[in-house]
Amino acid sequence: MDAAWMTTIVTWLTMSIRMSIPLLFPSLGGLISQKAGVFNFGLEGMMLCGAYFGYYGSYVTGSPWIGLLLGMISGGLLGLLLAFTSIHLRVSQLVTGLGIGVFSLGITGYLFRLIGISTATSAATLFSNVNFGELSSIPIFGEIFLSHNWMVYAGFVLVILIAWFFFHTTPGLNFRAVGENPQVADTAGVNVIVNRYLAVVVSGILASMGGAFLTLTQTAYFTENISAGRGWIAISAIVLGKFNPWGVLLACLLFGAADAAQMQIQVMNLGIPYQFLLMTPYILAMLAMVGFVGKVRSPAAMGKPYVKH
Amino acid sequence: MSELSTTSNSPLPIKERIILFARNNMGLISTLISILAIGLALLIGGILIAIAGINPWEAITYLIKGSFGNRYGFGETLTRFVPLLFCSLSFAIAHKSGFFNVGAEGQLLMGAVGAVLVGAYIDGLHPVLHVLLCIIAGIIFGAVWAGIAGFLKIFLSSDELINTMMLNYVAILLVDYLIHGPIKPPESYLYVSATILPSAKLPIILSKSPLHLGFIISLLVTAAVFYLIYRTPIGYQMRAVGANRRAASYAGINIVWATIVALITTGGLAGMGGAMELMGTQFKIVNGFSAGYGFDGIGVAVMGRYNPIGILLAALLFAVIRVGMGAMQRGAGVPFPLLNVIQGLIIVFVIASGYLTNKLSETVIGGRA
Repeated sequence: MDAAWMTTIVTWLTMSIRMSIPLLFPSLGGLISQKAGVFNFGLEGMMLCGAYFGYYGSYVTGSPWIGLLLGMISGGLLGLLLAFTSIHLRVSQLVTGLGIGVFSLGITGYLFRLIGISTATSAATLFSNVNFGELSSIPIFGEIFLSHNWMVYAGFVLVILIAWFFFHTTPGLNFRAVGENPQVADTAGVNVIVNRYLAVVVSGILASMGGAFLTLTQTAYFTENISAGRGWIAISAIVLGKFNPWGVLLACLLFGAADAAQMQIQVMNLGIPYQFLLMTPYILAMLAMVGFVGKVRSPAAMGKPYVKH
Repeated sequence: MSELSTTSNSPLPIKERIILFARNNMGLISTLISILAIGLALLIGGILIAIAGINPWEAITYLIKGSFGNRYGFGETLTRFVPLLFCSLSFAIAHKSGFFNVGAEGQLLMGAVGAVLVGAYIDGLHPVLHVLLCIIAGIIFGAVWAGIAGFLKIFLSSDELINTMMLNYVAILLVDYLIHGPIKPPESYLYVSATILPSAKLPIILSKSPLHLGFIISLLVTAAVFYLIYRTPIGYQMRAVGANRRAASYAGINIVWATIVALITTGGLAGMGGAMELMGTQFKIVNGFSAGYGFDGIGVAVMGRYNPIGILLAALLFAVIRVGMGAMQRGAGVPFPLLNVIQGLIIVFVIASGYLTNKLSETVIGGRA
C-alpha cells in the first residue's frame, strides 16, 4: 500500500471518531430517557440550542467552557419542559418533541440573526486538542486516537459510566425497572416520577452537548439548522445499538465512519454529485431501522405515561 | 304568595350549574383553552420582539396590515393557506390511521417535482387536462415518497417516524441535485428548475392578488378527505387500525390494505400541496421551495385537533402569522425565524392544554374527552 492511501485511511479513521461524537452524545441522552420509559423526540431541537448557546457563550466571553455551560443549561431546560409535559401532563411525547424542534429552530435562528454578526469576525473560541506530549507523535496510533479534544474522550468515558450504571449498580437497575415496569418499580419503593424527570433532563443536557460539540470543536460558527437531522439519526443509532450503551457506541462509530467517508469522497472529487454523498447518513439511518441486525426489544413501558393507582 | 317559595324550581347549587354548563359546552371550553394557548405563544413572541428593541405594537401593526390589511395581502394569506392545509390534512389522516407521517416536507417537494416534469416538459395540452395531469403527477410522486416509508413499515416493520423524517432530508438533497442539472434549463445561470408552461398554471381567482384556484380546490379536497375518513367503509377501517391495530386485526380488517390506502392519501395530499404551490404561486422549483410547510402542517393539525373546522381555522391562523411575519421583517426588522418560535410554542402549549381538557371532562363526564 502506498503512502497516499495510508494517509487517506488514517485521516478517515481519525475523522470517523470525531464525526461519531456529535451523534454519541444525543444517542446516549436518548438512550437514558428511553430506558426510563420516556421517548425524547426533542433531541434535534436540544442539539440546536446546545449548538447556538454554546457558540454564543464562547463568542461573547471567549471561554468555550462558559459556552458549553450555557448550552447545557438550554438543553436541560428543554428537557425539563419535555419531562413536565410527558410525565405530569401525560400528553403526546412525540408532538411535544416535534414542538420543541420547531421552537428551537426558531429561537436559535431568531437570536442568531438579532446579534447580526458577520461570520468574518465572530468566531467562537474552540476547545483545543488534549496535549498527550510525546505519545501523540506515535505514528498512526497517535494521529487516530490522540489528536482529539477532551469532549471526544468524555464521550467514550460516558459510555463506560452509563454501561456500569445500568448493569452494575442498584440505582441503575431501579432506573431500568422504571422503564420496563413502572408499577412493579413503584411497589418496590422506586420513585418513578423522580427517576423519569432526572432521565429526561440529563437526556436534554447530553443532546445539547452534542450540539455544542459542533460549534465549540468543529466549526467555531453557528449556522441555522446546523444539527442537520443528527438528533433524529441518534434515535436510529439507539435502535441499531439495541438499547445498549456499547451497541450505541458502535452504531455511532459506524455512522461517523460513513459521514467521514462521504466527506473524504467529496474532497477526492470523483464526479459523484455531492448531494448523493450528503444523503448517505440519512439513508444509513433508514437502513439501520429496518433491523437487519435482528429483532430489537425496546423497554416495555417506553412512551407510556405512568399513572399511579 | 307562599306558593312561590316552594323548592320545586329553586336554582341548582352553583357548583352543579357550572358542571352542567361545562358538560353542555365542552367544545366551546376546549376552543377557549386553545385560544388561551395561542395567546400565550403570541405574548412570548411579543416579549422576544421587545427584547430585540423593537416596539411590539408597531410590529403587530405590520403583521395585521401585511396579512389582511389590503387586497394583495389578503390574497397572499389565502395563498399560503393552501400548502399549509394540504400538509395538515396529510398529517391528520395519517395520524387517524395510526401512521406517523412527519415527512410531508419531503413529500410536498417530490410532488412539486412530479408537477414540474409534467407541467414544463409536456406541451400542447388543453389547460384543463394539463392542470389535471400535473396534479395527478404531484399526487403520485408524493404517494410514492411516502410509500418508501410505508413499504419499510409494512414489510420490514421499520419505524415510520424516523424514516419519513430521514426522507425529508433525502428529498431536499435530491431536489437540490435535480435543480443543479437534470431539470435545470440549460440557458439558466441560476439553480432553478424549468418553469411550467402557461397551460399548466392555475388561474388567479381574485384580481390584483396572487390568490389562485388552488384555494377552492383545497377546500373541496378537505371535504373529500373528511368524507373518506368518516363516511366510507375504508375510512372506518383506517380509523379502526389507527385506534387499535390488534383489535382491528381481530375484527377481520385487512390492516395492510387500510395502511396502503392511508399511505397513498397522506403522501398524495402532501404531494398535491406541492403541485398546487408550484402551479399557483412559484411556477418553478428553487432552493428552499417548501419553506417548512410540511412541519407547519403538523402544528396546524395539532392545533385544529384533527377535525375539519379546527384544521381550516388553524391553517388560516398559521397563514396569517406566516404572511404577517414577512411584513414584520420587511417593515420593523423582526427576524423571520420568530415564525418558528411562535409555531413551536403553539404546538407545545396546545398539546399541553390537552391535559386541562382531559382533566375537565374527567370531572364533568367521568371520562376522557
